[in-house]
Amino acid sequence: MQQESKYSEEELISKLRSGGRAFEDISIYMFNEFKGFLPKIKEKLHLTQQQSQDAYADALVKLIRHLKDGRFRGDSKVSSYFYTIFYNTAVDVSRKNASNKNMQTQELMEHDAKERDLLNLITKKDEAAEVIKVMASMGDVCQRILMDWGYYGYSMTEIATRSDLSNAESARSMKYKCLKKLRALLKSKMYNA
Amino acid sequence: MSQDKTERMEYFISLLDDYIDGRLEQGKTDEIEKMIEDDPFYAEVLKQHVQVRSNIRLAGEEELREKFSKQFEPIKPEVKQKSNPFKFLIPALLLLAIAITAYFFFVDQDKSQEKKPYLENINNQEGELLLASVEDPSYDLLRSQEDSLTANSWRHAVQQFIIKDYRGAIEIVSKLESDSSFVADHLGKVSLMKGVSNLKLEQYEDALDALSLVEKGNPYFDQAEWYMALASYYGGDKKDAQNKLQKIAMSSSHYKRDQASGYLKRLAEE
Repeated sequence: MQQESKYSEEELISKLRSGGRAFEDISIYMFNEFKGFLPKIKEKLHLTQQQSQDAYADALVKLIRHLKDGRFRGDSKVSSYFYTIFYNTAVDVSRKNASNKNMQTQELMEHDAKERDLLNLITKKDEAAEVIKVMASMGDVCQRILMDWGYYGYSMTEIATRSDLSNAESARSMKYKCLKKLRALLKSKMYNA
Repeated sequence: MSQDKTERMEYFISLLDDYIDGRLEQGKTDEIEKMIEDDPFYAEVLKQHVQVRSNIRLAGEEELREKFSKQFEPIKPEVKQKSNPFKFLIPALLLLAIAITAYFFFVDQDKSQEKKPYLENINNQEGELLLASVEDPSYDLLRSQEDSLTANSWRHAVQQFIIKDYRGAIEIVSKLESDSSFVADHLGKVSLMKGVSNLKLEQYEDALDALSLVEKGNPYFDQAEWYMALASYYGGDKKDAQNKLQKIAMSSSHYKRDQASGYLKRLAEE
């Protein structure tokens, strides 16, 4: 992918929604495109390099989600929208660090909107980590097929190529089996919890 | 689960994604919704499927986040700068080297001046050897330890000589000459002071007269000999100056041997 090429906002959203290779390429393009915000936010919120990079990666994932699911309505430029997401994510990170320092003495009886978001984020991260663990236990092929299908949006033909399967029908059949397996694993995990 | 029920379930699941994404044609959408309505089991399957899709999306986002993190350059650990004991060593050594170089440069200059004082350090811009630059005799040699009125007068004369009040020095020495015993005892230094004072006052004949009183064997003879040569030189008697200077230059032990050679060289150039 040519990093020099510029995409319009429409192209950007279109590529994200089309999924597959275009989705992966445009994600990396966006990663490089908005990196200029990093030093500004880092300095503004007095974050470490690691904290600002973590916040940046989180914010970019959120932006991609919003662009894909239509939550971004085009009221502002994508870059301005991203800046707001990045800033808020970075604030969460800095608050998390601040609260960690006083963890033993601070008891949150009531949560404001920001705190709720933060707690929700932590819960979702834990949940994702749990799912990843479960998916990893299914083996590489199942994990790859489910990810390619469920998140990256590759077509069944592309999935077949990427996973060395004979054709799209084989990929579809494999996906069905993997989904069934995942459902069962998650169910048993839920009952055992 | 019967064969028929299994097949219906597989059929239901195969339509679920398109149904959730709104891509299913109307007839099949109605069919799916009827199945969900009629059998709570299908509703549960739909719920689980949505949950699984959501979980896969979460896992996918986590994977993408990891991918972004790997795009960053590795962060170098911030190492606290330890105080380096050698930090100031190089500048200090440089300064020391400069100081040593400067010291030897100036010492060397002084040495070279000692070797040829009347060539380099007393020349004016035209290369003349100036009388004003002629060194006075060592003051230590002129001092007396005697504690008497005459001795005090002598010390006073020395002080005047030191401050280059040559006329004042001559006046005091002239008075001292009335004390024949003091002059007899200190003829060398008295004559030397008087001679050099006259030389500096450009009274060359008086200088030569006073200096000629210092006899060979007197501790001040070498100095008297030197200042006599200078008196001749500055008095304009070049021939006499040349003779006196050659005598000094040829004497291997004379303390002004090198300087005499310098004057001779200058005389030859004139």
